Amino acid sequence: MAYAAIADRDHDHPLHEPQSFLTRYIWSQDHKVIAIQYTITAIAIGFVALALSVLMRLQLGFPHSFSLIAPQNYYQFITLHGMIMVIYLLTALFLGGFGNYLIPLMCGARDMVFPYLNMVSYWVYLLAVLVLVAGFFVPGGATGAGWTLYPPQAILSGSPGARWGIVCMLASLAIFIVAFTMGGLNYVTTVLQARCRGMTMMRMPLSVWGIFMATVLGLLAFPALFVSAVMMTLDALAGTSFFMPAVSSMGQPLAYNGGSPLLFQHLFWFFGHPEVYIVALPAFGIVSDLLSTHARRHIFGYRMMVWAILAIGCLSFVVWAHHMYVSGMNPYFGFFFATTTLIIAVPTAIKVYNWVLTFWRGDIHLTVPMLFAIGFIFTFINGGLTGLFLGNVTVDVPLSATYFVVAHFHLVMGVSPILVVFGALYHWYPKMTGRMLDETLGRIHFWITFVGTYMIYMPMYYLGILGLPRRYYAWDEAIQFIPPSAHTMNKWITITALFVAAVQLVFLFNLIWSFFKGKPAGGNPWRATTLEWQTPDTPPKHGNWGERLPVVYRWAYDYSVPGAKEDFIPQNVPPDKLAPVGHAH
Amino acid sequence: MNIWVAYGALATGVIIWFFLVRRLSTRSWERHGSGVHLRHARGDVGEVGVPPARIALWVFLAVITSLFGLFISAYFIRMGHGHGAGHGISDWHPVSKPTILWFNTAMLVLSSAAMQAARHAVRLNQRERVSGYLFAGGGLAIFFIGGQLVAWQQLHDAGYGLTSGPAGAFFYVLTGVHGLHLLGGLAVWLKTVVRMGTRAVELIEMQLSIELCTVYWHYLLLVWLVMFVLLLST
Repeated sequence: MAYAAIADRDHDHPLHEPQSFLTRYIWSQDHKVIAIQYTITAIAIGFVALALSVLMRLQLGFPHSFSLIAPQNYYQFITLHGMIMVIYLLTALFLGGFGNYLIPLMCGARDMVFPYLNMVSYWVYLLAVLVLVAGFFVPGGATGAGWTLYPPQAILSGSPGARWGIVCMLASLAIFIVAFTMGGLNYVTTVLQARCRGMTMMRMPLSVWGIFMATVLGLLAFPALFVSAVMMTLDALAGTSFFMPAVSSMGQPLAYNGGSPLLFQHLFWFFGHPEVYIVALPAFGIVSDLLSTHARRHIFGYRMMVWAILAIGCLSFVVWAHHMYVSGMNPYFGFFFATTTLIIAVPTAIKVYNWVLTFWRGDIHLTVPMLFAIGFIFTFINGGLTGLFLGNVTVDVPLSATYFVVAHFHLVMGVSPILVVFGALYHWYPKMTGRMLDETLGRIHFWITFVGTYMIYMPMYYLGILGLPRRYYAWDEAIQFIPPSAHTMNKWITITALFVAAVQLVFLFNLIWSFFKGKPAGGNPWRATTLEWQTPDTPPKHGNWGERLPVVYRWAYDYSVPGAKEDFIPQNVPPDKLAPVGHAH
Repeated sequence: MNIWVAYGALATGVIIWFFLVRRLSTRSWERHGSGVHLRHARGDVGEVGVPPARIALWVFLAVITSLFGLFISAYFIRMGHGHGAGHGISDWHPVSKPTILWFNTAMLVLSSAAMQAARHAVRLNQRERVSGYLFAGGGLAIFFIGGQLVAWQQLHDAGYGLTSGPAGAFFYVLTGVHGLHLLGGLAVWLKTVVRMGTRAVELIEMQLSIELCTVYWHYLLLVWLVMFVLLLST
């Protein structure tokens, strides 16, 4: 039992509980504190990105009414909004936040295997965020190259922030990747090596599976972004021509020669597509656990779910060029990438069917986390199905530059994971703080966010099919081909977006208010089976498990087991402790 | 070449499939009688019993493989860029490789060999020899980095700067990234050497650190050899 020896290693030493405020809350090596630090930082920078989207919507809905939004500002907002949401919010929150919090607790470990490295990971992440924000204040402002940072325009003087903004962005990304690699090594090693006795891989909750596979994807895919960031920084600062072709700027030929912008696109999307699943897989995993817990029903097809996670992870590395159909490519290439893209729909569809089938004969509790989980299924299907359209070259080419893509992308990769983030926060907040989030505020938050999402993005699909081009600051005379009745849709979208953005403040208020005044939660308010709800203290103390590590006897989904006294059996209940119904003693 | 790639991919696939199918075909929802669970748990991490640091190192090596693999793909794509697709002449002009690279390569090979010898000496419990070899390994690696800097200087003096063309720029970037990874290794090596200097530390406690340093050294040697062949042949 060598693994038990590793997991039990703390027994030989005292737990070294931190004493001072600084070591307990600031320079903490406790995975739970680090998780909360990650979560707070990610949510804070996420609100910045939300504010940027509000500014963009104001411009699009009411062009020329706001003098503070000049064209170059609009492009800066678009760029920073995209980059922050995808990387600094979603990636950091799912892996740094939920990964840090859930992996040791769900696997029955006392902490991550390298707590010091874990702490450094957070502080380096914070540095990345600060460098990113610093981009706003350098001469020329933040980069406005679009979140994909395509050269050559990213470092040509026509783009906002082409001198220092882009350098801040690239430096921040490189720092983020360093932070992620430190965290990722921890997550993978902890899942592989620090599970408690009896916790086999196939007894792990799907949340851990999703986070684990996403981390593996991140570790292999982020180097591609790192490579492109290094080479583009050199192009911008040292005058190399890795990506920069011979080009004239403002009538003057520049010193660049012979570089390949397409090379950047390949590198970027070799990272960029796995990134979609770096965000989606933890969401898939977490939503599986939310559905199962709140439907009081075991997850349908657990083994298939694990296989699907693995299959999606592998396939995600061979679909990247479907982002580049309009860059021009050999038709056989397009055929290949369209095929792989459609194949990835198979494991994804399996997951969706299994989520829906989990409801079958379940005892469905429409709690706030459950509402968000169900909302996720709807939104993910709506966003995912339009992905089948865009995965085909011939359909993608005319739609690629329109709002159809904006709607597809935001539903499938923006709103869907965010709904899971909300659901997960409502679900695990009681464990993190010992108090419940307010139910009524939660329902208001859910319904306005969920319905608002559709009121925002469904019109965008329609505008996209009409041919409304994305990336434009203002359309003015350029969209005469669109019926005038459709023009007002942009106002409608903007007004809805303002409502939805405002209701996120209700959520923020709920987070803070409930921390002080929320209903005490108790140890296991959702009557869940997984290990994090079985800790001796809530919130769990340093070392998580008190004197003895838990021992796991069953999988994570023993809900409504026939013959059992309660409708759930925690993973650490031994078989001989189960009293059959009618034989209680 | 393609046959070998295909063969390698197939072999990797079969191995992964074998491991995955064994591990992932468990029916974890089936109930067992009391006591069965522990037998059931075996065949998982328990049998492997690898220290977490070793797992982490191998995962990190996978990350580095991805990093250098992508740099090398970028190298090939950039080199081929301009040949076809109506571009006419390529702007890729090979740079003259400084002769000192051969000397540096020898340094790194010796460095790796010294680390291996240190690892071997730990097993034989010969403390003096461990320190000697460990010092030699790190020292030779420092020589290697110094030699690489000399190579940069020579290349620069020969008129190849970062901006003189893609081949020169790639030379600086590839050797630079490799050198930085070696510097990171040297930081860990320094920590090990300092611990080694403490009399209170038993040799057996050093075994894992020295072993992991050695593995990392061998790996960076391998990366360098691949890059060296690549740089010489293009």
